[in-house]
Amino acid sequence: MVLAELGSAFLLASLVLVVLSAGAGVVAGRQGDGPLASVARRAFYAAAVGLVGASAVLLVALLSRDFSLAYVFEHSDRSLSLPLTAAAFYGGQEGSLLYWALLLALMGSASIAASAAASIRLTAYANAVLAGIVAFFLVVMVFVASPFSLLPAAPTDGLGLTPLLRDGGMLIHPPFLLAGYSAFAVPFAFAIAALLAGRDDAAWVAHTRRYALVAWGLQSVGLVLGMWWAYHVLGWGGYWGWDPVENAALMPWLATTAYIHSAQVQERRGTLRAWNFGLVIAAFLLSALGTFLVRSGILPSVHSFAVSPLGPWFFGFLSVSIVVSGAALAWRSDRLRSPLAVEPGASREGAFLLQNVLLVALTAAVLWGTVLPLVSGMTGRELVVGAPYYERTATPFLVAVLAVLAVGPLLPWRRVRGGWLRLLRWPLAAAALTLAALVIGGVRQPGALLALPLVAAGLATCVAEYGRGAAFAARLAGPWPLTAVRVAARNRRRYGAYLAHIGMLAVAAGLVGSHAWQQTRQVTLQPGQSVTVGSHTLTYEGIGTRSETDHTALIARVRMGDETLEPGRLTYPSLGGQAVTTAAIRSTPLDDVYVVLAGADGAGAAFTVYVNPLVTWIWVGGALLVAGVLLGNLVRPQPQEERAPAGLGATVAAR
Amino acid sequence: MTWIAAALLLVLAAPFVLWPVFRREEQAPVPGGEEPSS
Repeated sequence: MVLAELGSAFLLASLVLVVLSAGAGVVAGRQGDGPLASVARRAFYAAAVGLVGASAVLLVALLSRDFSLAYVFEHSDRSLSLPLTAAAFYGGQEGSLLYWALLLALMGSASIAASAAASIRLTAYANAVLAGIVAFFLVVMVFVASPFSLLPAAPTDGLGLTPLLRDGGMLIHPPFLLAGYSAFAVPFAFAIAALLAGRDDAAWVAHTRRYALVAWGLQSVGLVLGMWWAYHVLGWGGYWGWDPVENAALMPWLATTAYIHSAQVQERRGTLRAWNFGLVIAAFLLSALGTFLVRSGILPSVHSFAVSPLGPWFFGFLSVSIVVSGAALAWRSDRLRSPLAVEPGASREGAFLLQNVLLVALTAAVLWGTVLPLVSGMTGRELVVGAPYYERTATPFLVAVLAVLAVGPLLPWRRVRGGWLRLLRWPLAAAALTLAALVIGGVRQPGALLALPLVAAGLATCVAEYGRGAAFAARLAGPWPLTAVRVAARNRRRYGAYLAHIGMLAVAAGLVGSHAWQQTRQVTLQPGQSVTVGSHTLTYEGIGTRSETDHTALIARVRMGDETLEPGRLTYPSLGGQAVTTAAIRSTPLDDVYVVLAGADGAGAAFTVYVNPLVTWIWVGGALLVAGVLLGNLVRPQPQEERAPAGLGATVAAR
Repeated sequence: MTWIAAALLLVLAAPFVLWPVFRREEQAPVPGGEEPSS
């Protein structure tokens, strides 16, 4: 009772503060009024503190099992472990809204505090946009879906968390993905602010790029963890189902990947201004669309546990965001004309532009597939596309992106002036060797024959660039390891980017390998019987049951070499007998053996066995991708001295 | 109850939030007052 009142009071006070912050921000932005901008910032910080207070109250209510709160009653029960009980904070509708608003308030506070000294008007407008977005979430929580609603009488136990979410993945995947979603609002706020304040120069890009990288990094981690979780929990042998909600998370990531690259063109050459604004704004709008799709339940999805009647609210939010962004872009369209056009012909900026066009086209294809049921439903005949559509559509784009990734880093800015063979000798050699090895090895799948040589070419490009940096370091005074570290540190953005590229190549290899060479068998075995899938022989040894606090587990024992795999089925009596599978997975760098227990009766135990080659590469690649971006951008850009030569292209062009 | 608690929280936050405005008022030159010595 007291907790509910206190939590609601924190939300209400925060709402008043963000409304004040938004109003003061707009006026300060228009007038360039420093003290008023400071009031706007302080009101935003205070609202963030209020949201921390509300979150603390909800956590206390969950951990103290205060079932008088409807949210605690609906999303936890006494059998739930403490970590999962704490995770129920974002496991339901109202709590995830609070979590989202909290993260946005904290990240927004950090970004406006870091930018306050740079420009009063820019930061005041950004502050106003961020406050407006947080205000939307607070309005929803205060007036429509409060996490602090009380039940008429406190039950003795709660309904509990849905079984699929009772997993360790619940502790890491949603926090990152929700953080990624909310983080896209920060570069968006600064983009709109730059438009309103008339700051469309390269300094704006350098500023926003940092926040875009944070959002992109969080979303990358969220996506990879989501794939990993789906792979471990859903028991269908795959990691990406082209589910509408997965697509919704992928689209802003693709748009921001494009922006991270095109921002460099603006920083270096002053072009692509309107394009960059468009990408940052599109990333946010796509994340808002994703939220609308998840919350409205308008599309069938594996994430349907998050469905609620809040769809119209999010639709309204999305519509207002589109109108505001479109109006700001249209208002400043004259100023956004680039002073220089990208020169025709092959060049670094040309490669960036091509990569951007490919990623945006891929985003559009995914968007079309995702919203097709909605659009076609309006005409009376609902059309739905599945994985084959996405795979057919996405594969050519991904292959082309791999080719750009192999060639682009070697091209000089402005224009290549001859010397192509010398420029591209390493990636060409690597691609030719890999193709020959694959053909000799008996590989005949066109996808693998096309993509894996490109992966090798991209890797050769990255290694060649690292080699060039190492050779440069060897020419400097001092012992080589120290000079190499110094050169790497001073050029960390570039070398971090190559590490991220290597990560992306590993992910691509994993995607290709697991698609081209996956093997599956469904068998029913008696104890002692064996099945061979690929080069692996599995022997079924027997089955047993285990009782845990909140479920009973049917666990099979399957021997593979020296190891015992234990696929199982968990049944939750307190949740109406809902059952989930737990796949047993044996991973090596070469392949995963993935065993699912489909059922068991007197006739034996039914298994589905998958052999998934190179899946581990996806997880390792995802980690490298994020590590590369983190290492390259943790601190401010390096000074100009001791820059390593910018690739072979520079020397070729200089002739 | 919620409204009262929210109002109390806002009263607590007010000095922090509005401080820049008070400071501006304090620092504004008083009409007819003396020039501050350098």
